[in-house]
Amino acid sequence: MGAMWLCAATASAAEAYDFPFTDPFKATVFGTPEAYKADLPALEDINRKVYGIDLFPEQDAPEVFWYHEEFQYSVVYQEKPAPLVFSIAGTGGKFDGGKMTALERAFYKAGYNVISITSPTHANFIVAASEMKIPGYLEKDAAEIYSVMQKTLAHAQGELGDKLQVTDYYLTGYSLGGAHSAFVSKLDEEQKVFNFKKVFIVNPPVSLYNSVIKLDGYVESVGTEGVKNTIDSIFARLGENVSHAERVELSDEFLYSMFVKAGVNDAELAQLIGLAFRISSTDMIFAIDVMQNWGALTYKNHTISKYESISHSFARGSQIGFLTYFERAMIPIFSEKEPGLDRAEMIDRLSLTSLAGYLMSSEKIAVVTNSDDIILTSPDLAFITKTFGDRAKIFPHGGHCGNMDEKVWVDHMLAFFAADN
Amino acid sequence: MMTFKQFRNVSLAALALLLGACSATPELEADAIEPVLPLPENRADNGISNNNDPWEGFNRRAYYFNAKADEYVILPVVNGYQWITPELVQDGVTNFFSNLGEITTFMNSVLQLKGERAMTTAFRFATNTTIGLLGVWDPATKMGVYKEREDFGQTLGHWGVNSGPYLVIPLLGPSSARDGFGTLVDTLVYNAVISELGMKEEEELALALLRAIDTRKNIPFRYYGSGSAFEYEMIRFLYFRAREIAVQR
Repeated sequence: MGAMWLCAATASAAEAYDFPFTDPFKATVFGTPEAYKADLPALEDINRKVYGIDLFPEQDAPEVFWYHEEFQYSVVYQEKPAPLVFSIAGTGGKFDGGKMTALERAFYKAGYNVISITSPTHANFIVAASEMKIPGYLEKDAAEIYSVMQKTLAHAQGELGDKLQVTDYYLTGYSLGGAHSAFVSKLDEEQKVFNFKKVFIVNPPVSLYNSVIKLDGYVESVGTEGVKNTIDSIFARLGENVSHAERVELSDEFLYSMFVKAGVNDAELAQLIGLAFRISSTDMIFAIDVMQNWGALTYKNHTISKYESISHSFARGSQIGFLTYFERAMIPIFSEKEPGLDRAEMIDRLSLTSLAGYLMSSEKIAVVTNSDDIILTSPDLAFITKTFGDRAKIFPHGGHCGNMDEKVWVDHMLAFFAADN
Repeated sequence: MMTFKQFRNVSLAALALLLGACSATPELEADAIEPVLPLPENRADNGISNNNDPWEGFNRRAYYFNAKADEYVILPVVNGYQWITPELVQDGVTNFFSNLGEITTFMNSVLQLKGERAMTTAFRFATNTTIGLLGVWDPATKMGVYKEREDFGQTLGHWGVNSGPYLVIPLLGPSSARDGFGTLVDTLVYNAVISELGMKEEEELALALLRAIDTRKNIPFRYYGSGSAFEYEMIRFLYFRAREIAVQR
């Protein structure tokens, strides 16, 4: 009986990684298909609350951002003493994005409390939580995230009382949020507010600059007009296929099958990824522009009414990407604050290589990525393997964050948090 | 006595005034400065930043109004309904109204001369109304006869009528001049059919209310939910694209 139990346990532990897309662009865009997903409770079926806190009560949000008066976050709670995971979203990501809620469901099932934090690059963070209001400088972002974590935790405890009892703290984040986690963990070593027990970094950029060049490149290589043509062409083919489909449903599977029939190729998928990143950057730059009164894509010295058309700002802003923001805003602003800080030094600071010593020696930190992650170069991958050693788990396929709800992937994440050392 | 033509002209003029009166152009302060980044030349006219939206001032106000109506009235009612109603019953209600919706789909399939679609829709309605107990169950789908959706906006589109300007309808949400008119026609037809059932006035009202709650319940969209400043632009873009595809089918 005991032997049988053991056999069953090893068999399930050895379940093979099963992810259907060997093409990283497809993996990134489509994510994990339903049949390959870990079996997780539905979001409606877990203990979860969404709250807003007014972190700057002495000032009002600008009228155009009337809906960002409060900083929003979600908390998942076990109603008994349990460890808590802080989870940080990727570029432009909000606490309630699909990847964030998938993590919440996985952690809830495994017995953790969770607080989900919106990325510092999202307008809600910029408007309602950031003092600096110029995100991207990872170390400085980390300080703001760290402060927000403390405030959300205190707020959630105030709201939930006994329902949220925390034993230990864990940390995770995906994509840019993964890089943020590394910097937050480093800060926590000094300030020791949480004393994170484990830190799990998911698909991080090794060099933010290199990753941005890749993502922006997907748009720059064809120009915004080229992307527009690609979108038009994809919609035309989708329309053609939908009109011949036997059955039309608004499900992921249906949309995916339409994409497959439309024969959307890698170059086009790359442009879609580039477009999504460009839209996130434009959102971010708009929010910063409004808060700082730079007058880059909005009128300087002008209060935008909540009924005013800002389509012109989108048209202006979508012409530039994150890279332009880095070159024309971040470098001049931060080098003025810190004489001697040059471009090369800045690029280095926005990368995990600047934390190499810490990451190499800190046993509590693990990283997971894919050998075909589109935001990584091969030297980036080599850095991850060398720095994290056996604390790096590199899946063969999954693209950028495409496999985050695959069964074996989720098991791996939970096993790392559950392990004693 | 006003003739129909006069009445129509006055109504249209009033509507145009209402839609056009609200401005979306910035009211600039004296010291405001033009943005540094230039406005790109020759913007495509069906993109995210530029679309057929001459009534943008009205539309953005309706968008905001809808968000507030959702927040203070509609969503609390929907949540209350979901709280007190067993899921099985909710699904039955959804199926029931979906079945009644086959009537306008049938009419519009006929108007587009889509014979096969009219037949399958009629089959679904007959099957679900009888075996499916007034549409509460959907045995037709299990028989492999799938639901189609045709509305009067699609019918107009099918016969070559352009979508016309974007229109955010108070309480109903994103639409266009053509599709808004289509919604009006479909509603009149639907109401005419309902009134044939010989219900009391308060029963009709209760039914209409339940239908509204069920409709909102089944739409996961939340105004300003993305937190993006350009959500309005994104929705406008996607609305036009989705309707193009719906008309094409």
